[in-house]
Amino acid sequence: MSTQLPNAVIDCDVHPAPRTPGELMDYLPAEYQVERDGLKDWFRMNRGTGVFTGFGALATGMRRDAMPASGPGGSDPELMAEQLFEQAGVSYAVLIPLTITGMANPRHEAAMCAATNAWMAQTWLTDYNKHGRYRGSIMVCPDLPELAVEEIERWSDHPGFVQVMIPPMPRGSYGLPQYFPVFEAAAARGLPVAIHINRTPGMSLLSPVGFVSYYFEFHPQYTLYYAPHVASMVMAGVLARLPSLRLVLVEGGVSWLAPFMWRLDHYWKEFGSEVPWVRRPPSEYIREQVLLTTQPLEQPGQPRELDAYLDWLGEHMVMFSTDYPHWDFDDPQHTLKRLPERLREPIRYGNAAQLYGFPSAGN
Amino acid sequence: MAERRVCRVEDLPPGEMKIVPGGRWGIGLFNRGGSVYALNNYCPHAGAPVCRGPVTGTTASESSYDSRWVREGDILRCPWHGWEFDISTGQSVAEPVRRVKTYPVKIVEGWIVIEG
Amino acid sequence: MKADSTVDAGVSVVDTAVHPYPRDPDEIREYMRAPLSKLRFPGLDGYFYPPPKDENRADSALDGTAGADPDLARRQLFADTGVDCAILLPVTRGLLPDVDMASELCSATNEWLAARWLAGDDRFYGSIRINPADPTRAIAEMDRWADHPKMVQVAVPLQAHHPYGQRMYRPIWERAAHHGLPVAVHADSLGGNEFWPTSVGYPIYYVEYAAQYPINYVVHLMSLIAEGVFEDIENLVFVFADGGIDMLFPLLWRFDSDWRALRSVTPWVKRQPLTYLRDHVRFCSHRLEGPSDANDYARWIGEIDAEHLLMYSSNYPGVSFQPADAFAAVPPALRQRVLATNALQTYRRLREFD
Repeated sequence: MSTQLPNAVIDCDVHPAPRTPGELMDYLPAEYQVERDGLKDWFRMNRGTGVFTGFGALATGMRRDAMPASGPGGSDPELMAEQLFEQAGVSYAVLIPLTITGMANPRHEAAMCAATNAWMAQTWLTDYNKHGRYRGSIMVCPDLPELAVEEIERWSDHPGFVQVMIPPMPRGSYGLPQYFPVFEAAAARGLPVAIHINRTPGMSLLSPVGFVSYYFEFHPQYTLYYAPHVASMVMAGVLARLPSLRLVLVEGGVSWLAPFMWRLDHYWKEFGSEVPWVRRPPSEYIREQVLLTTQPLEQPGQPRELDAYLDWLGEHMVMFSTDYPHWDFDDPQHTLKRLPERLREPIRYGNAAQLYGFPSAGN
Repeated sequence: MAERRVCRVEDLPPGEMKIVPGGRWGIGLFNRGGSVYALNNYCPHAGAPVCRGPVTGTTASESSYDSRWVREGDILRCPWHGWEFDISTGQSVAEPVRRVKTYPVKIVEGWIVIEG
Repeated sequence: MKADSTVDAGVSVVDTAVHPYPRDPDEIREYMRAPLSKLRFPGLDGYFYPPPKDENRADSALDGTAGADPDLARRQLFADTGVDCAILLPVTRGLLPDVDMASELCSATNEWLAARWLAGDDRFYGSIRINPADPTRAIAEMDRWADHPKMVQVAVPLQAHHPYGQRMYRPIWERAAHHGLPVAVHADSLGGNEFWPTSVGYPIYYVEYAAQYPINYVVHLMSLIAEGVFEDIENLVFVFADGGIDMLFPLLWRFDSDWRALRSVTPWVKRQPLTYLRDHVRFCSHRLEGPSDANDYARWIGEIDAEHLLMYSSNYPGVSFQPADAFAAVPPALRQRVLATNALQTYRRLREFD
C-alpha cells in the first residue's frame, strides 16, 4: 500500500544490515588481512552481545513486521524500500549501519569500519540505490585516529556519503586531544560527524552510579552518553576551533538539549576561567554546530508539553528520523503531527537538506 | 451502522487471525476458542498494523520481582512498540483507557459479520 | 504522601539544603570511636577536580573554612537572606574503600551536627548521614537519631556503586519510610571509590564535571521506579538535593513511554512512571540550572511541575548560592509553594516549627 505524503521527508536514521557477516568480510581491504582471521573468530563466537532481557521481538530490537524472509532486519533492500518509501512516505534516507560494536582490539574495530564502508559504497549506495534515495555514513574508529582520518579521506569524495559516524564509547570524552584530528578531517571535507549508540557490553553499560537492571532504564539514558561529549567538545574548544564542524546526535532525544545548554552556560559563566579559549557561552557554539534527530520523539502526557523544549531549541537544530527497522520506529505520519506546525517543514526536510546537501524541496 | 460479511467461519479456524479490508491497514479478525473478535488493524499508539503482532500472554505481579505468566492467548502485542492489548476488549494492558478500536461481530449463516 | 493544604503562616522561607563544614577533620574525629578514630581518613578538601576558583563564598569563612561557623551562617541565612529555617546537610567524603570507616564518619558527623549546629538554634534542622554500603549499620544509625526532634531526613551520597532502587538497598528505604523520614541524595566530595563521573568516562575540566554530575540522580530515580521501590513503599520520599529538575521531564518522558512498551518485563511497576513523582520525589532548587532569560524562565517555571516538586534551597555556603528573592518574579501562589509549602508538606517535623 502506498502512502504518498504531501510533503517530502528526509529520514536521518535508518539501519541497513549485511545479509550475513561473511558479506562484510568480502569487502575487507587488503591492509586489514592480518585482522581477517580474528574477525572471523569474533563473528563466530560473538553472537548477540545484547545483555538486556525482553520478550519476543523486542529482545531483538526489531520491528516484528520488518523482518525479511531471510537475513536480519534491514538486510533486504526491497523490503526496506517498500516499508520506508512506500508505506511510511520517506523521500530520502541517511543510512547508519550498526555493524560496529565496541571491540577490545581497536584494529578489529577499524577493520570493521573499513569493510562496512566499502560494502556500503558498493551495495546500498550503488547497487541498491538506483532510485538515488539513500545516503551513507563513513564509519570510523576514533581510537585509531590516523586510520580514521585515512578512512575519511578515502570516502569523502564519494557522493553517496554525507557524514562521518563515530561510536559513543571511545576511551574517553570527545574533547580529548587525541580525537581532534578526526573532527578536523571531517570538518575540512565538509562532513558532519554523527554519534549513534551501539550496544557494547561491559564498561560502556556502566552508569556513574552502577549498572542498571532493565532495558527500559538503559534506553532513556542514551542521552547521558551524548551530553558529556557535547560538554567536552565545547569546553575543550573543539567546536570553537572548527566552526564549520557539525555534530549530529542520533536517537538521544531532543528535549534535553535546551536545559543542558542553560546548565553549561551557568557553569561556564561561574567557573569558566579554566577554559579561556571558550570565549562565548557554550549555548552559542551548540546552537550553531549541534543537531539532533527526533526518534524516539518524546511522548509527554499532553503533546503540547514538548513544544516549549522545541521552541527553546529554535528552528535549525532538529531533524526527523524513524530508526527503521527498530522496534521503537517513529512513523512520519504520526510523529510529524505531534510537532508544532511551524517546525514541521524544517524538521521533516529543511534542516537535513541543508546539512546533508539534499535538493531543496519545492514544497 | 453498516453490517457486512467479511469472511466465512471455516476460513478462520480457532487460534487464527485474518485481515479483511477496512481503514488504513484493514481489520483483524481473531478466533479465540470459537469466539470471534474484530480489531482495527491500527494501533492507537502510533498507527502500526497492530493485528500483525503475536498473540501471546502477559505478566502480572503481586510485589517487586514477582512475575507470573498469565492470560496466554488473550493478548495481542503490537509488532512495532510492543504495546499489549486485550483482544476481547481492545484495551491496552498498561493503560486501559487507550484502546484498539473494536467492532461488534455476529455469525450469520456461516458468515462472520462485522458492524462498521 | 498526603497533601496538606494548610500553609503555616509564620514560615515563609524554608531553605532545604545548607551545607555546614567542620573547621578541620579533627572536629569530626572528636566524635569517632577508637580505633577508627586513630586512623587517617580523607578530609573534605581534597579534590579530584579542583575548581578554578573557590566553590564556596569567601565571606562565609570566619577562620579559613567556609561554612564552618554557626554564628556566621546564622547571620547570613536568617538575617541577611531572610530564610526562616534551614535544613543542614553535611557532606562527607562519600564512597570510601573501608565501609566501616565510612559508617563511622557518618555517625560522627551526625553527633557533630547535633552538638555544634542543632543544639544552639531552633531554626537549624538536620539530616542523618548514613552509609548505604552497610545497610545494617545504616538502619541502626537511622534508628539512633529517628526521634531527635531536629533531624528531618536521612541523607546518602549521590555517588553509589549500584543504583538506589536495587534490592540490596531496600531495607534502608523501608526503614526511612517507617520513621517518616525523607531520603536526601546529595553529591559528596569526589575523590574516593567512585565510578566515572559520566557514562563515557572522565570529563577533562571541572566545569564539565560540575555541570553534569548532579544529573546522575536520574539513574537512581529510574531505578527506584523500575525496581518497584516507590510502588511498594507508599510514603517513601526521595529528595534530590543537588537540583536537576531541569533534566527531569526530558529524561523521564522517554522512560515513561518505554514503560508502556516494555511493561511486561517489570510488571511490578504498576503505574505509569511519571505518576510516581508527586508522591515520591522532590528537588532542591539550584541557581545554576534553568534559563537566564526572564521570558524563558517564566515559561520554564510553569513546565517543570515546580508547584509539587520544587523546594527552595540556597546551597549555602556555595558560590552558587541562591537567595530566596530569586523567585521574586514567580507568581505568588507558586512562589509560596516553592519557598515553603512544599518543604513543610515533605518534612513533617518542620510543621512543628514556629
